[in-house]
Amino acid sequence: MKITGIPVCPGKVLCKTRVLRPVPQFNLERKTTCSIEETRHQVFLAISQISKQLGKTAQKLSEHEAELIEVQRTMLQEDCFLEEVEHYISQGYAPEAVVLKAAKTQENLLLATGDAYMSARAEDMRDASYRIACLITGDSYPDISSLEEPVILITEELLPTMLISADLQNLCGIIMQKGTRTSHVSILASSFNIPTLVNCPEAMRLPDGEMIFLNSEKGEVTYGLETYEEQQRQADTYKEEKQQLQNYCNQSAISADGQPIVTLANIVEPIVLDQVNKYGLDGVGLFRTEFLYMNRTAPPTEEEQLAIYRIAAQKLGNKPLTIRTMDIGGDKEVDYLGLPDEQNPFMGFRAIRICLSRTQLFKTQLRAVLRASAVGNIRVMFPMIATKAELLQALELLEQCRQELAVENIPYQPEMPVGIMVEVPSAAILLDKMAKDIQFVSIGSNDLLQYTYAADRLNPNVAYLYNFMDPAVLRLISHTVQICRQMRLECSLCGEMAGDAIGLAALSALGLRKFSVSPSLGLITKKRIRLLDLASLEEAGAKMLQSDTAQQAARVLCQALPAEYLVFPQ
Amino acid sequence: MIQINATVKNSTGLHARPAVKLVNLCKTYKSKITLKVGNNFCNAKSIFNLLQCCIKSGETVTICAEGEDEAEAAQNVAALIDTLEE
Repeated sequence: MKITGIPVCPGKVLCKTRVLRPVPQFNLERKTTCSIEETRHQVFLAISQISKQLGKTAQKLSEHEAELIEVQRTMLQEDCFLEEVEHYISQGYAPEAVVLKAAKTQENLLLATGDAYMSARAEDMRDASYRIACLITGDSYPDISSLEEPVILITEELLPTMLISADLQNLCGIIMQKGTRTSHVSILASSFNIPTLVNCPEAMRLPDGEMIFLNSEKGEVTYGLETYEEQQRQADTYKEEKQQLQNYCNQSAISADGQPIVTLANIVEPIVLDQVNKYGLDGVGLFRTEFLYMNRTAPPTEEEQLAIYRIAAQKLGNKPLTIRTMDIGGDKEVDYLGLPDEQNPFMGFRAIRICLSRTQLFKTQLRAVLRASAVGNIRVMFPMIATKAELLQALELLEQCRQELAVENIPYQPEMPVGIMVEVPSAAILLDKMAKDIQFVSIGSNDLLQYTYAADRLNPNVAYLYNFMDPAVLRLISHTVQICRQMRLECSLCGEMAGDAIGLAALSALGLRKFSVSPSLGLITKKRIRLLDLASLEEAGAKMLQSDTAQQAARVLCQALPAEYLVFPQ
Repeated sequence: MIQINATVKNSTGLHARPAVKLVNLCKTYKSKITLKVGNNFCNAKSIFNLLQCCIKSGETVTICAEGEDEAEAAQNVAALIDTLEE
């Protein structure tokens, strides 16, 4: 039996399922007929048991993570929390309601600070209180921070924070009922290289604790397996290939004809930089900062952003960190900005368009980036630039921030490189007029394709138009590369095209020498580059641009590629 | 009563992890220990209270201890704050 979903991170895994049920909905107003002594006994027993459990979990974690658990335990022993607990017990509330109500008071106090660290601690408090409540009522609490055996996680939804703290050694796959390819958690799963399917409507029908086969290359899950030799073979092959790729960690990305290629990573969280370093990638070509603005009640402050950018810069050492200013709008919604609903959000009020109209929001981010530039190799990049006027406005705001910081005597790097995303076709067409104001360009192939063909790639009826081998978009990319060469601008590409074998070859054929891909694709990208003879591809590049159709362009390209390039798995 | 000043140096301020260390240390003393930052006061034996104060990097904290072991308490708390690192 098979069910399907949308692939986020490819892979093949044969493994037992672990169905994660959502946290139960407790009634916080439930009263009990039990005696006060009885309730008190239950409540304190549960609190001490969870406190012990947390202590055990902490032992398995790194020092850094263990300390956060210590905070949770300290909060449970806190007098002001315990006083609240006594208060609700005396009012006759049921034991689980007592704990949740008492915790809620503390959560609200922490949330009222409006500080990101404190909000995260409020979440810790909430997490601990729900663990206690579940223990009292006998419900199971969804927790993946320590798994006993390798599992494929089946869940309705998954919070990014849960994934970050998950037991990644044993988390072999994820199947989510909801979710989109571009959501925060999807990008994270992909960065961690966990085979993942999202938007899988029938996910919750999968049985708990049963062997299933997840093929997230095809977007398929096979369950109810009687024998699984064939699946085991496929999973083993996949594992072996993954293992072999590790050999590329220490190899540089040099083409078969000896040309060095820069391989960068696209990131959403500083936490994935450990992988970027392990895989020997050359830095970050795209730090998507919009996720810092999501799932919260107010925008991140300058200090909060600065702390995150600094952590990222420190982890990278001298390697570049390209920070893209926030790209909210489109499919990324942020309630507290009060943006109007739009009929056509991808064509609407989005990214730099919001920033140029809400300048305070934008300047907060620019100041944080500038301040971080004093301590790291930081570059800033504006998304969705469509006209030169927009670029000049953004640069003017950046200049204002520089002057303000200078007056305040706060250090920043005055020479911090500034660049734009080329993702709106008009920016590619008019790039020669913008080039002298910037130091680098990053082609965003996903949006560039979508806007060139006026086709939403997620709409299956028009998905046929979304083909990066079509000569029209190849010409736009080639034009961008040529202008950058003439005007001595750095040029890279950070869309999914670079993570595809054919896409990477096509871009190399057009003269691009710098790519930014999801960290999970870093090693395979290096492997691919080492097989490409770039000099001989240039000729194919010229022919691709003269092709009539995508099929013809792909044929021309494939003829110029070595056979082994096309056989290894995508 | 004794008062000593200390400066928070670690870049993320007196957030959760250093706060636990501080609370645990304070709990070992009998004295009442209060931190003063600007016009804010907080009970240094309460993690909630301390977190709500959002003490940032670079801020100067006045440690006020009152009780039989006040001198030792204030000195050791100040020493802890002064040596906090990531």
